[in-house]
Amino acid sequence: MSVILEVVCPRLLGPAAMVAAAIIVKGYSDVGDGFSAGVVVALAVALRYVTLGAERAERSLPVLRHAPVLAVAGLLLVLAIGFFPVAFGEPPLTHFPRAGEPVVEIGALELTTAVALDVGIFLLVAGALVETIHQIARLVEERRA
Amino acid sequence: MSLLFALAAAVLFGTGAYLLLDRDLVRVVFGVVLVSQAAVLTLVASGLTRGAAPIYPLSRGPVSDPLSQAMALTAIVIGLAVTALLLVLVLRVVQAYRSEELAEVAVREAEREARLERLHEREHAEEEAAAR
Amino acid sequence: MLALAQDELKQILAHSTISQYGYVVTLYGIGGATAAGAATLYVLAHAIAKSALFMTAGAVTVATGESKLSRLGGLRRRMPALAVASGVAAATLAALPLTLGFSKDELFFAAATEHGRAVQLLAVGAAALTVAYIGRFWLGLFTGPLQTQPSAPVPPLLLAPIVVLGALAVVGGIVVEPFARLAEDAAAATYAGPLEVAPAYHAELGSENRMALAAWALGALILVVPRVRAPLVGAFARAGERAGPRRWYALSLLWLNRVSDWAHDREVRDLRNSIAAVLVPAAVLIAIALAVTPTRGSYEVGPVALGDLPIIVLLGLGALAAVTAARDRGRLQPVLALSVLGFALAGVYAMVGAPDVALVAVLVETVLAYVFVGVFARLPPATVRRPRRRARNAVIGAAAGASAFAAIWGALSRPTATTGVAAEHIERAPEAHGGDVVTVILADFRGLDTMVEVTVLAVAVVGVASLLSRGRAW
Repeated sequence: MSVILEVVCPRLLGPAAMVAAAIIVKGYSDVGDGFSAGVVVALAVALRYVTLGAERAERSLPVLRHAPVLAVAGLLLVLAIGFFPVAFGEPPLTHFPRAGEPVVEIGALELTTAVALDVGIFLLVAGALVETIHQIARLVEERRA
Repeated sequence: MSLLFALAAAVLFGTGAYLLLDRDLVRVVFGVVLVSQAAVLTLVASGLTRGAAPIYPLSRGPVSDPLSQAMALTAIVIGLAVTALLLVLVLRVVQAYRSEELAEVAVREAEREARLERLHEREHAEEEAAAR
Repeated sequence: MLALAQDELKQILAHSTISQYGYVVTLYGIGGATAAGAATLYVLAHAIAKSALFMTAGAVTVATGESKLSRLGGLRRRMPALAVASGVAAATLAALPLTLGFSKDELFFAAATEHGRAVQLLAVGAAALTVAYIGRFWLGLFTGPLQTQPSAPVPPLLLAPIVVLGALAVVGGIVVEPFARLAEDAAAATYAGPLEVAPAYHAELGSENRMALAAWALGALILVVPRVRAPLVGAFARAGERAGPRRWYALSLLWLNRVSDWAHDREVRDLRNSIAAVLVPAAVLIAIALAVTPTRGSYEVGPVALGDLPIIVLLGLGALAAVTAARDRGRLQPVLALSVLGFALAGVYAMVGAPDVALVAVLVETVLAYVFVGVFARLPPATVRRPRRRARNAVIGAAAGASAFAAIWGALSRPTATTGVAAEHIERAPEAHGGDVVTVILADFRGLDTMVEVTVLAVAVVGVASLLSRGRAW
């Protein structure tokens, strides 16, 4: 493995996370959504796994061990936001604030439940794909061993 | 243009079908990927309008059909999930039966099943004997 | 009837379930509004009571490691809560007062009374049998001398649902109204008309109450006097073994098994044949459809502008990559070809005004390449041997491709005349606080699709993880 790869790849995770955050924030008004953001993060993690190997990648970033938890949390968030309106007698997936009502804005980010749904999708996709990547990295290492 | 889109999708589907018929299980997975790509291409091509991206502020000209794009996105994601699952399934089958040839896998499975059945029958007979 | 003779706990309950559903079928057979209402209430009460009893059987087996009634007994002291809760459930099945079950039998008897003496007698007999076998189940488990010492206490997680169900049965016995409403709604659906389910306690000695009393008495009699029970049941069971449904069941099972074995054999041996069996007739059908429908004018080449040249090139590249993937018999080369195809298609998507699709396609293609390469690390290298019947597969593939071409081209060149929902989607996106219409559709207008999609993804990944880790997630 070349030195450049060893040095550069692990440091790509930060920028990748930034890109993912930007994709989510801008997602509702520009290209991209929670899914693509999740895949971006997962790809950055995959690069770590490829360069460092599963063992070192996980030791340097213990969050990776909890990828399944992340995925389940994302799924629960998506389901909760989807079926939360049912409790108020609205059809599922009614988003708040309603059409035409004012929205709280933080910079480019507009706080609506649809964005929260996107965050849930992001968590689910990132967690699920990192888990897949982890399993496959282990598979490759078993063979090497 | 629709002729060309149809032609490309048809080539993808045809090669996918050809691969699906292969005896090598891994190539069957390739076939699934190709067929799903053909489906996505058809979905995107079936947009009623073509033009700029459907993102506000809209350009003055025609705008692409967003609905077929949304469906294509769903199809891509589900294609990824199915392909990954199928591939891992094939891996496990190959490891369990030590062959990626469909015919050999079938033969081994039949053998294993027969062995299990004999075992089961013997157990059953023992149980009955014990009951008496 | 057979439930009286069984020793295995779950078999008693299973046989009893058969007989209970026998009632329900009888009720529907009797017909009429009363019977339809009674049947639904019966199913409801039975569901509550029987699930509690099945869980009781499970809990007892967990605690003692024993699943035969003859080796169990006297558990009353050891598991008082379980005894009470399952006792309530048993009482519901036996239709004792103050439980939901009383109402169910009351309606049952009322329906039977509407139809004359013979049905009435049969109903009483059936109810008596229920009392008998459920009594045997519960008394055998919890009273009498202690037979098998429970080795472990009943886990609270197992106990809790039984208690809840038992409480539900009692509540239903006292306040029957909500259950009756529920049953009414369901029964209205089956009866195709409104009807009334109105169970109540009648203090006077109506025919329903008399029937109930008779059933309890008869049931208790069967239960208490084993000498009456044993020969009766024995004879019935023997007759059943010889000519009854069980034998027929076993025989039919055997035959079904053979048929399914045969089908399974065919299918496993010839998976490819079954794929071919779908593709070829589909191609033939499309060809027939093309032959009989007038196609003049229905195919359009569509406008091609000079600016479309990159799209054409990319489509051609994708098609070439697909052919390469199909022709190469290696492992890695087809994956590379598939990646080329994926990126080419992503380029096409970007150029036809679908940047969202293009972005996701690129990302997914990369992940897919990673997964393929990772899995191939564990796969044996491809065996390069001359494949048989390659020509046949090529012919079928070509037929499939040709039919797909005809179908897709036909569909693409005939856009529906009316404007679709797309225009409306585009118009309403700003109202939903979004600028990217595709994302708004995914998250809002067609959000349920997305929800199911991510669920599919999650399930698939659970499958991948459990397949790769042999049961352990981490």
